[in-house]
Parts: sequence; C-alpha cells; structure tokens
Amino acid sequence: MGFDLNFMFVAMKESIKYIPVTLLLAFVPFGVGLVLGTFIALARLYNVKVLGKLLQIYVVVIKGIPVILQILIAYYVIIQAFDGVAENLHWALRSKDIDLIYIALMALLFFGTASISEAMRGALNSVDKGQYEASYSVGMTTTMTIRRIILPQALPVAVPALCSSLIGLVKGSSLVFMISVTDLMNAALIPANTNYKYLEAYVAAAIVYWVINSIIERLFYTLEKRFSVYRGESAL
Amino acid sequence: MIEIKAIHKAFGKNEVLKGVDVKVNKGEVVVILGPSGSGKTTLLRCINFLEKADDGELTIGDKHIKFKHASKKDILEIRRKTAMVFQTYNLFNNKTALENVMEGLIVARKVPKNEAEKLSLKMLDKVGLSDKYNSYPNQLSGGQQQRVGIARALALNPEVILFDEPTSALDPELVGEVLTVMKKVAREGMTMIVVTHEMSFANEIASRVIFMDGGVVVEEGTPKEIFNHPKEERTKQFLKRIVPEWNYVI
Amino acid sequence: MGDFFDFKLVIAYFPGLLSRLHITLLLVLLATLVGIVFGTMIAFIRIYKIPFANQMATVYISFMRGTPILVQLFIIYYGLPRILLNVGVDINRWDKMFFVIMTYGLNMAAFMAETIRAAILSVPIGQSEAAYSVGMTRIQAFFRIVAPQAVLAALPSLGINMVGLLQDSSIAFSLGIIDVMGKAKVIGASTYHTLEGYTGAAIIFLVLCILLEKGCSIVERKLQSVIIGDGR
Repeated sequence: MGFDLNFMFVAMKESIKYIPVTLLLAFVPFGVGLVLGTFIALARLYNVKVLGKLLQIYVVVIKGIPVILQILIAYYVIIQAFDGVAENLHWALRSKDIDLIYIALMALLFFGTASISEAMRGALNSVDKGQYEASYSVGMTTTMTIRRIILPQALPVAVPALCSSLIGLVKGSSLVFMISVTDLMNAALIPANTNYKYLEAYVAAAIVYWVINSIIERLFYTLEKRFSVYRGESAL
Repeated sequence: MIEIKAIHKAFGKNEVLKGVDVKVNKGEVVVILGPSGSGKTTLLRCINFLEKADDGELTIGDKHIKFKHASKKDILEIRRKTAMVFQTYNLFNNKTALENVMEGLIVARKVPKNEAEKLSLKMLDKVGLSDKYNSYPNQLSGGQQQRVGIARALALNPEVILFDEPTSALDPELVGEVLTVMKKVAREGMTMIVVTHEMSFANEIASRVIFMDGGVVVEEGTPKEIFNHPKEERTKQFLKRIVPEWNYVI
Repeated sequence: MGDFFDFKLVIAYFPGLLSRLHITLLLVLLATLVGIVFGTMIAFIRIYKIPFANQMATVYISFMRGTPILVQLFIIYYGLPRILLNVGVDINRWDKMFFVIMTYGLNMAAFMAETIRAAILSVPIGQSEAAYSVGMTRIQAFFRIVAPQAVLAALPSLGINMVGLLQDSSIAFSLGIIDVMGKAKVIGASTYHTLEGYTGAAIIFLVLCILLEKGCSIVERKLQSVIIGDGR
C-alpha cells in the first residue's frame, strides 16, 4: 500500500488556501488576549477586591474545560439563545445568519485570554518585589510603576509561555470543524472525501501546521534573544 | 606523599597551568594562595580528575600516573585515595548528614553498612554535629553543611584532603567554626592541600605556603618566609592587596 | 426560554457520563506511563547527543509539539497499520483504544522528554562532582544522587503535562472512543439536548482537572520531604 505523494500535495494546496482562516483564529485571540490577559494578571496581582476573585474563577474554569467543549458550548448557547433574544428585541437577524467563524473566534478568545493571563501572571510574579518598593519610594504612581518598570521586566520572562499560548491557539483552531467552520485542516480533507485518501490529507495538514508553528517558535526565540541582550545577559 | 610534576592545562586557547611542580609530604598542610585566574583551583581539581590535565605526572602514595594516559581505572583509584571539600559544600541534597558521610564508604569503598554508620557518627562528632546527623542539607546552615563536608572527607581516610576555598561562600560569622575544624584536622596529622584566602589560617597551620600567579608557582616557603619576607615582587603586590595590614607582622 | 437550557437535565446525564469515566482515566494513566518510559529514553538520547538519534529525536519532538492532536490521532490510525503491513503485521482489526493510547503516549513522550531533560540538567553539577570525588562511578552517581533529585525537579512539569493530556483526551472521541466526551456526543445525537450533555461533560472535566492539580501538589510536597527534606 503506497503513499500517494501527489495527492498529498493536492490536499496541501487546498489547505494553504485556508491558512488565513487559521491565522485569524489564532492571532486575533492572541492579540486581544495579550491586552486583556495582562489586565487580568495585573488585577489578580494587586488583589483587586471582588474582580480579582472573579477573574481567578474565570481562569480556573476556562483552563479546566477542554477547548473543544468551549467551542461546542459557545456554539449551542449562541445558536439556541440567539433566536429567543432576537425575537424579543425585534431584530431581523436570525441565528442561521451568523457567520460561525465569529462564534469560533469568541470561544478561542476566552480560551486564549485565560492562557495568556496565566503566562503574564507567572512573569509578573517573577519580578523582584524590591522593584515595586524602589518605584514607590521615588514617588511613582502604580500605573507608572507598571508601565515603566514592571512590565518591561516581566515581558522577556513571559516570552516562552506566550509562545506556548499562541501555539496552543493554533492547535485549538483545528477543532473548529466541529461547528462547520472551514479552516486549513478540514480544507485538506475535502478532496479526500472523493478518493478516501485520508492519510495523505491529514499528513498534508500536519505539515502545514508544523511549518506554521515552527515559524512561530523561531520568531519567539529571536524575540527572547533580543530581550536578553537588552537585559545585559550574554547573547550566547 | 603527593607529587605533581610539570602539570599543564589549557581551556581552549587559555593556558591555565603552565608547568607546575608541587610536592607535599605526609602530614603536611600546604596552602596555595594566588589571585583569581592563577590556576590554583584548577590545579586542585586536576588532582582528583574533576578537570583533565593535558600533561604532567601525578604520584599519590604508591600510585603513579601520567595525566595524558590516565585510564578510567587509574582515575577511580586516585579518587579513592583523595577526598575533596568544596567551596559550595556540594552535600548530597537527597541524603541526610549521616548518609552523606556514609555514602562514599558504602558505595565506593564497599564498607559494610553498620561499620560505615559507626565511623560516620564518630566523624560527625569530631566536627561537632552529633545532634544534626538526621538533618537534610536544606535544614543546615552553611557552616554546618561545610563541616558535614569535612566529615564526609575525613571518613574516607584519604591520603590527602583537597580543600577548594572552603570558607569563601560562608557568612563571616560562620567562617570561624569551619576553620576551627580544619585546624583540628591538621593537628591530627592529615595531609591537606588548601586553596584559601584566609591568611590567619595559613599563618597558624600551614607547613608551607605556595603562591601562584598566571599558571606558575611564583614563590613558596614557610608561612613566616612568605608573609614576612616575600622575595618576589608579584608576591608582595598580592599580599598588599589581600591583607591591608600586611606591613605589620601578622 | 424554558426550552433553552435545562440544568436538571445536566444532572440527570451525569450517571451516564460518569459511566464512561474509566475510559478517560485509563487513557490518561496509560498514555502517561508510555510517555514517561519513552520520554526518558528520548531525554537521554538528547542529553548525550547520540549522533543521528539526537537529530531524529529533535524532529520528533518538534512534530509532536507542533501539530494538533486531532491530526496526530488520524495519522497514527490510518498510517500505522499501513506501515506495519509492509513488514507483514496486520493490526487493522485492533481495538481503537490501542491507537488512541499509542498516539497520546507518543505525544506525551515528546513533552516528557523535554521535561526530563531539563530536570536532569537542573541538578547542580556540584552534586555529581562530589559523588565522583568520593569515588563513585558515573552510574552510581547518577542513580544514587542525581536521579532522585531530577525526579523531584520534574514533578511540577509532569503535573502540567498530565493536565494537558487530560484536556487533549477530549479529542479521542473523534476516533469513535466512547469516553466521557464520546458519551456526551451520543447523548446529544439521541436526545437533541446536546448543550446539556456537553455542559455535563465540561463540569466533569473541570472537576477532574482541579482534582488532578490538587493531587499533584500534594504528591510534590510529600515527595520533597522524603527525598530532600523539608527545609528549615
């Protein structure tokens, strides 16, 4: 039983057409998640009264439920709830008109934000407490302290964990086929529906994912090295 | 008797030992002084093969080897004739103080367990830690850990104990307790090669002092000779820097 | 909105979902075991930089970490029988659980290899030096002094990897395995109450995750006392 290399490339070509979808599903949650996640990490760090606790619960829950369930639940909740709400508000929109990709984006956003907030929280905790004390004692406000002293020191530490989060989002995006969104993975499978050469299709998708994630790793690695130089550590 | 002849060691292009000869007789305490980078620690570490010297000869007791052609068996034999006390103590983190002292006896010298235990307890008594024998290293102070390290070396009854800056990592108030133990060990006749900056120790206990700089022996002699009448200019410069009150007789 | 979400149904579905819990747990346990055994081998290949094997190991780890588990599952499921057929071994009829454990095990091995390698390298070199200086051989030094400390260092990451494995196990149903997730899908297909089924599954996973994390902390603390003492 041979391996149809030609067909693998056919599947790969189909796959590549949908790379933008996958990148959208990974990078948008990552970008937004970076901002939101940092705020969440800061809120938890400073133990902001009620919010801190609530956010802690949010992070624990989101990190405890598998991504696929988050995507599925988001889908069913929105589809089932939307029609009821839309009727009450007299909107013309119906659930079947929503582009499902927004649901996928939303679910991945929740997921990504939780993951990134943990990465940032670890990094913020790693900054020596003495830094805060020194800043306050020269008269800086909390905001200035965070912006000018703490975050710049926390970011380099956060880089590996953030890389992990982004790669996790790329891999998580492969699950959107469950709610009928076409991304690079099920695009590879479409041609295989006629000739049943699924192995070749999955291998094609695997290679595309592998390349994307390897590039991401390389980028973050370079980022980390640049940070180390600024921190005065050896560039080795 | 320990003798090193013409030892050479380079790290890449950096020649750290440029042909050093050292002879230590039984019962002698030899202190090696020198600025950092002089090669003194490397010399010590070459003796028990934690660094592999490029060239030269080593004789310990009746065992004679050439560094270049030392076999695994040779190295093991040499290590079983020596013991080392480290600057960072290097106690086995997963063993209690007693187990640390026993470890080498049981595993490397095939001493039966209860004999090893008796001997180890005796050694821990000698260094003043009889009440800590069940403690783990992370429950002991730096000075206590180092004394366990010395007990560990003593228990092996080696031909020579190598001390690599044993007090450099200690808080000042803990240095004294370790030096006291070292002086006791010296007075009992153990052969010791000590790399240190503690001049008072050298002056009190050393039979001989060797001053190294830039990978060679610059000068050697009794403590009195080296501290009071150094002959070489480099020796004088070093002493002036390390011991500000040097001009006054120690 | 009464039809929308019936929490009572979620409770009602629990027994059904929990009846398949053992499959999920079996999957996690067996895959972890495979991962540790195989991962240790790979870690050593990487530490000692054994030529050729080291490069293969690096590629392997990169692939397992860089591709979605879903894709890995199907590649092993479709691909492994074909490869083995070439050497005359037919595993097409084998239980799907075999393929699932194999995939998750191989996946876990890649992550464990890095964890174990980092843990071994984190033991201070002074420990080995002290061991050699009292006359131990390399093997004695490794098993008596370095390994116990490496195990302790590896525990937190092992815990994190296991939690990741638990989360990833929710994909196994796509191969037809009836674990907790598979049962939730069945419930959804047969009753139209998909949301309640999946919510029940989500709660079960959440509880399992919390229990696993708590369990790992306890084991870490206990083992620390046993191996290196509990500090001042």
